[in-house]
Amino acid sequence: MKQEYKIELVEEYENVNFYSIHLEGKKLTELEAFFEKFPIGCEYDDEIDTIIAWIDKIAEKGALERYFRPEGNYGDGVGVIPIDLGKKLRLYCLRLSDKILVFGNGGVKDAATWEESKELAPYVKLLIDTSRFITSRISDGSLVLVDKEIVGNLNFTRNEEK
Amino acid sequence: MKRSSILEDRRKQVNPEIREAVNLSFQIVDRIHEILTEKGLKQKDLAMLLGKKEAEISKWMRGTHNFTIDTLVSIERALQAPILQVIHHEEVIA
Repeated sequence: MKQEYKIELVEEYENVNFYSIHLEGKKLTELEAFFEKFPIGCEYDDEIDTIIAWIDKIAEKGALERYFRPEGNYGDGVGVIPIDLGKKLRLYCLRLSDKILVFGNGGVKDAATWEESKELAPYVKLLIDTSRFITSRISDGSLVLVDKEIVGNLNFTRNEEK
Repeated sequence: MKRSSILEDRRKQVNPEIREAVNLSFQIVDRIHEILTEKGLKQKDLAMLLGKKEAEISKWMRGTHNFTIDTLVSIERALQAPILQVIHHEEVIA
């Protein structure tokens, strides 16, 4: 099944820009959809608070590599927001540079690894594919990273696994 | 500068204690990073000094780790540099 999506700017700061994947036909970006899944008063309030506090520190300091936990394949920039509390929620992202972060979606950890999780694996795979597409477009010059901005064609199509 | 209204609404509800804890954790890891840089050391060197795996040190350094006093003392001793300082309000005798 073909899946179409684009990467769009969600939040802009002095030191970093936050982008997110926006799937065609969906109202919200994947980052916003993640937060809508866990509204205030849910059992994961503390973990959501930690994720937001961490995101706000990244907004202040930049997306430095040492703050991220790698989660995809070696060197592809896919990571998970590190939370040292509860350890149940996972929010995935793609770090393109110290100044550009692309957020995906996430959910509740229900298996030992993301590969074994029916809920989480699609989110990570989408970011892994996106990393591959971006690397390829940077190589052929159709996309460039300029300071905090991703400039070029930000529309993507992929074959989604069943 | 652009902001997401959904995130902005949720930000307002963040527990201030959790925000403070994350702020302090970032201050601690940035200080550890600063000491490592000054001494020309890497996280793997700190791991070796502490007899830990590098993966554990990386986990500490991401900004949400809840450091114990024991861990902070062991890092200060390994790096021979202060990380946290306690403020004293000393009484001034006229």
